[in-house]
Amino acid sequence: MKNTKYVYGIAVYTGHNTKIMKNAKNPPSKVSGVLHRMNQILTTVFIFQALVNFTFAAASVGWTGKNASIHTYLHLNADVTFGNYIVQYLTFLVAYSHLIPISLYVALELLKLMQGTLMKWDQDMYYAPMDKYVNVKASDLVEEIGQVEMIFSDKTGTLTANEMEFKKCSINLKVYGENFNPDVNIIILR
Amino acid sequence: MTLIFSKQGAELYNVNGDPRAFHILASPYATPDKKAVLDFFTLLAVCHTVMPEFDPIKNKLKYQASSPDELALVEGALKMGFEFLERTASAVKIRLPTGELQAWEIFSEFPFDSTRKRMSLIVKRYGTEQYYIMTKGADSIMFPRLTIDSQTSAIVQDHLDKFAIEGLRTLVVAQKPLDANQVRDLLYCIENVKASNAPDKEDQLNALYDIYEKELALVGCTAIEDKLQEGVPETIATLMEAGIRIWVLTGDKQVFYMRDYVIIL
Repeated sequence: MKNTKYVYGIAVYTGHNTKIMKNAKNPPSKVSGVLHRMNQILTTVFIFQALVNFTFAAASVGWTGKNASIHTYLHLNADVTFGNYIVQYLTFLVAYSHLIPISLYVALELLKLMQGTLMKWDQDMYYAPMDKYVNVKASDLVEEIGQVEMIFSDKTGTLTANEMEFKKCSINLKVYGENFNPDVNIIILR
Repeated sequence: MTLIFSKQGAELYNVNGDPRAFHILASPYATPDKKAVLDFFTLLAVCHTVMPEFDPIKNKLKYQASSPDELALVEGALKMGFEFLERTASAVKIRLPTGELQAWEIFSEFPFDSTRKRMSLIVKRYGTEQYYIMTKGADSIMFPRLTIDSQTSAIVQDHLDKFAIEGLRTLVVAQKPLDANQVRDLLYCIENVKASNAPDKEDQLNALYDIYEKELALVGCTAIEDKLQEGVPETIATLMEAGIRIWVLTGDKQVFYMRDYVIIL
């Protein structure tokens, strides 16, 4: 660089394209499979409820409009108006509100909390040298852990202790070191 | 037969419980095997970038290495009684099992990098006039650079395959005598390239190294175990029983040994 008269400089990945900006976004919140499915079902229930309210309110307004004069003792509002329809709609909304099982969420949360506690007590996951049990920091994803299908890992320093030992050598066509052990199980990962 | 080793006990000189190499070294006769074993461990003790550090409390040498593989090799040579003692900017001092001290002058180092996958030293034993290039590197890279007949090559390749199946990391070590003119030329060229402002300096240097790292004579192969952490085989076996698929990312050979399991990736 010393001998050059001038240098061209190009700035790439600036502003919003810089790594720091790209990483600045909040990580997406993780939702467990069960919760995701439940939200889907509840959306369906919500739409169904809206349809029921819609039809029932319409039927109700139609019926009272025809029959309110016969059943005067009921003091029914016989107006076939939009205002009356809205009132009927809200009435049915209240009547069928229990279609949405709010307590289901609470029940699920409690269940997860209990699962988490069970994991904390799990003797199989106790590590004696450090006197430690599993630490369940968040119970959101406990049921997902049992459904892991793949694990990716690097080897050196993770699976291995990063301690190398000189084991064998081949000098002048002779192998020195422990004898080759052919009785090993071979597992083929595919 | 008199034992010619000075300080440590004989069992120290075993390559992992195999006393044959020791017996060969202890033999008073100059057999081809003895020369090969001597050359091999001398090369291991000389050709590396490990730094020795004297620990005054324990009153012994400690080795510092950037690569644990190199450390394993130097310690392996030490177990056989080839002790790497000292390093200066241009020389290393080693002690042979016989107690003999040897100083090796280093004229140039061709450093290791991940594309070259080998490192070399241009050395000369102090007091002699014979220059050598000592090279160690990955077998895939080293084989094409060896002068070796097909029969020997097949046997060595078989050894390497067996090492690999056991999950050991293999290296090939080789050397070649150089004459003084060649070394002078090389040093002159390296100096020139390094002093130049050429943008492809690295490539030029690599090309230069390439010329010298050729037609080497095989000295031997090493096998190093990358020790597993405790409980890893059991853990992986359990995970696989649970139907979890495992992917291991590694630059090693594609076979990976875990005590009782060989996992072929």
